[in-house]
Amino acid sequence: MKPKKVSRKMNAVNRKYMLIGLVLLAPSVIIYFLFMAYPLGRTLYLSFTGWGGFGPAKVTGFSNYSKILKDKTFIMALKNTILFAVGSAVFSVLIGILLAWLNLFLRRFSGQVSRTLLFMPSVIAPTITGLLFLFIFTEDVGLINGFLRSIGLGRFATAWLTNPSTVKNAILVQQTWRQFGLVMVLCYAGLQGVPTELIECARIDGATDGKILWKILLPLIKPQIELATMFTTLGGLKIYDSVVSLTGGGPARQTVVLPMWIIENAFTYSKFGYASAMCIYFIVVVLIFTLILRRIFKGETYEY
Amino acid sequence: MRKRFRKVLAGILAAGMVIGLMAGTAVQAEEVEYAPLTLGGSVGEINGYQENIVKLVQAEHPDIEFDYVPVETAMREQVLKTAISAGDPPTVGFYWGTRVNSFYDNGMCLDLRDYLTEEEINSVSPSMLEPCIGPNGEVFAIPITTVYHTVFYNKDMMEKYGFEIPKTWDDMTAIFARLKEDDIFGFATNSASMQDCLYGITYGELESKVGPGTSWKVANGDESVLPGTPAGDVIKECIQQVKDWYDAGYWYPGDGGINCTADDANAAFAQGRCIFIFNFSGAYQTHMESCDFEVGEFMKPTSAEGIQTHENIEPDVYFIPSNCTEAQINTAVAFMKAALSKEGQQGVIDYAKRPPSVMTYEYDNVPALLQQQIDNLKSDACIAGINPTRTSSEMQTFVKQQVFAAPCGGVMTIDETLEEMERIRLEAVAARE
Repeated sequence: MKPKKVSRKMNAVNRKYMLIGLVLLAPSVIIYFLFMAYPLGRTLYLSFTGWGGFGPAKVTGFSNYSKILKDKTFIMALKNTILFAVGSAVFSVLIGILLAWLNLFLRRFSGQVSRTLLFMPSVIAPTITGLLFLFIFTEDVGLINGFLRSIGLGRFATAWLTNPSTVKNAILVQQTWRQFGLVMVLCYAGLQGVPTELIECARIDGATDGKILWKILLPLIKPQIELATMFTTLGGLKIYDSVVSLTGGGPARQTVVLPMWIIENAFTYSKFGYASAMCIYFIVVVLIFTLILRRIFKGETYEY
Repeated sequence: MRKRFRKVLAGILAAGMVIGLMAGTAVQAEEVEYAPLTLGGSVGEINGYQENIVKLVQAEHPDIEFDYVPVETAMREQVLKTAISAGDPPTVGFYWGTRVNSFYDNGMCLDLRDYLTEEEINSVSPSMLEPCIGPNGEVFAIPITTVYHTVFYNKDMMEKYGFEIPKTWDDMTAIFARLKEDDIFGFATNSASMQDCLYGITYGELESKVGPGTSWKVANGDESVLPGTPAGDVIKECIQQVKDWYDAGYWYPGDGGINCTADDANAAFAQGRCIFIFNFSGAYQTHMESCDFEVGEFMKPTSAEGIQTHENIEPDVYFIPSNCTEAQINTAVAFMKAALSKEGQQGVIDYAKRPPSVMTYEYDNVPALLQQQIDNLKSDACIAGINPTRTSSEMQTFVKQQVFAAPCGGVMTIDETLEEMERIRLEAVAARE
C-alpha cells in the first residue's frame, strides 16, 4: 500500500503551528540566552583571562584555575559554604518534618495560626534576618547573653559572633531558622495527601505514632522531602546576605563564604578573571551536590 | 497655477524653518553642557561641607541637579569600582587619598591637570596632595579635607580618676587596669573593619627603632614584614601589646571587641563605658554631638618615652572617573573648583569641623580642638601614605579587618599574621611589576 501523500495544505498547517510554537517559545529562549547562556559563556571566557574590569582582557590560560587551588581563603570559603549548606539543610529538614507532623495533631484554626507563624521566617529578607540575629547574638547587649545572665547562667554567655568556636554555629542557627518553615510547609502538604485510612489501619494494627511517622508517613512523602532537601541545600550554597549582615565574613574572615569571596575578588580587587574562574569551580560544586542529592533520593516511591 | 505656487512657497518656508531650527540647535550644541552631579563613595549621610559645595555649584549653575549615593565603609571601593566598570560612573568619586591609587592604577581616574589651573592645584597642601600624584606627575585626585587616626578621650573621666594623658603603652595599661576594677573598659575601636585606627601604634615604633622612612617603605610594600626582619619584629611587638590588652579584657566589649560595629563603639564611648576610642579625627563632630562630657584628643602613645609618635594623614579626595561623559566632566570640574574656593574650604571648617586642604586662606571661627588638629597636621608627626592599606586592596582588607582580629581571636598566631601580611605584600609588588 503506498503511503498517503501529505497535502501541501497540511504542511502549511504544520508550519503555522510550528511558527506559533516558536513565537510562544521565543520569550523564554531569549530570556534564557540573555540571563543564562550569555553570562555563563562570558564568565567561562573571562576565567581564562586576567581582566581587571577595565580595558582589554588579556588571555592567561589556566593560571587562574591553578592559583585558586593554592588560595587558602578560597579553600576556607568553600568549606564554610558546604558546612552552612549541608548543616542548615540537615537541621532544617529534620525540624521541618517534625513540625509538619506535629501540625497534623492541631485543630484547624490553631494549625493555621501555627503554620503561618512558623513559615514567617522564610519570607523575611536574609539581610533583615542577619541584623535580627546580630541583635540576638551580640556579646554585650544581646538577647541570648542577657537571658543567660538573668537566669544565673552568665558563665555561659560568650561573644557568639567573635569566638571562632561559636560563630559558625551562630550562622547555622540563623540559616536553619530561615529555612525550616519552607520545609514544614512542603512536608505538611505531602502529609495532608496521605489517606487517613492508611493511618487508621496502622493504628488498628497497634502502631504507635512514632512508627506511623517512620514507617508510613516518611516514605510516602519522600518526594516532598527530596524537594525540600534540594531547596535548602542549594539555597544554602548561595548563602551571602546572611553572612554579610551577621558577621561580614569575620571575625578575622573566618566565616567568609564563596559568594562573598567571589564578589570581593571581582569588585574590590578588580580581579574579574580570577573571580570568574572561582564561579566555574562553584558551578561544578553545585552540580556535584545536585548529583549527590539525586543519588541519595533515588529509589522506590510509593503511590497510594 | 496659483495653487501650485502657494504649495511651493509653503514648502520653501517650511524647509527654511527646519533648517533654521537645526542651525539654532547646532549653535546651542556648542554651549557647555552639564550633567547632573552625582557624588559617589561617601559614607553615611551627606556632610554639611559637601552640601555647601553643592550649593556653591548650583549658585553658578542652577540647572545642575544633585544626587547623593552613600555607601558603607567596608563596601566603598567595591561599589565605586563596580559603578565605573559597569559604565555608570558617578560624576565625582570620593575616596581615601592614600588609597586612590587603587583606582588610578586601573586607569579609572582622569588627570586633573587638564581641567584645573596650576594655581588651583598648587594651593592645596603638598602633604595632602602627595598621595594623589601619579608616577608621571599626574594629579588624579584633589583633597578637600583630611583626617588622621587619633584617640579621643573622656576628659571628665580622666579628671575624675586623676589620670594624665598617657605617653607610653605602660601608662595606657595602668589606666586600663584601674578602670577595669570599676567595670569600665579601657578602649573601643571605631569598628571591626577599621582596625587600622589601632595599627597606627606601629608608625612611631618603625620610624624610631628601624629608621626614618620605614613606615613609608612598609606601606609601599618595599620592606619585608616577616618575623625576624627589623620591621616585622617591630610590628610583632605592637600586635603583641594589643593582644595583651584584648586578653586582659580592656578592649570594649570584651570578647566581642574584634567584631564590634561603629555604632556600638561610639555609643559605648558616649555612655562612658570606655574611656578612650581609637577613631578617625573626623569623628570629632559625632562625639561632640553624642557625648555629654568634654571630649579631648591625643596622638597614640609609644612603647617608651622619647619615641616620637607618628600618624598617617588620610585626605578625603575627589576624582573624576575616566569614563565620565563630557557633560559629567564639566559638572565635576565645577564641583572641584567650588570645593577649592575660599567659601568651599570655610564650609569644611564650619560644617565638618575638619582641617581644610588649602592652608593659605584666612579662616574664621576655628574651634580649639580643630586648631589642635591643624597644628598636628603641620607638625612632622603626621605623614601621608604611611598606612599600609594603600599597598593593595587585599592589604587594605587585611590591615582593616584581620591584623589584630586574627591573633586576638586565636585564628592565627602573630607570626602567621605577619607571614600572611608578607604574602599579600609580595603579591602586590608582583602585580605592580
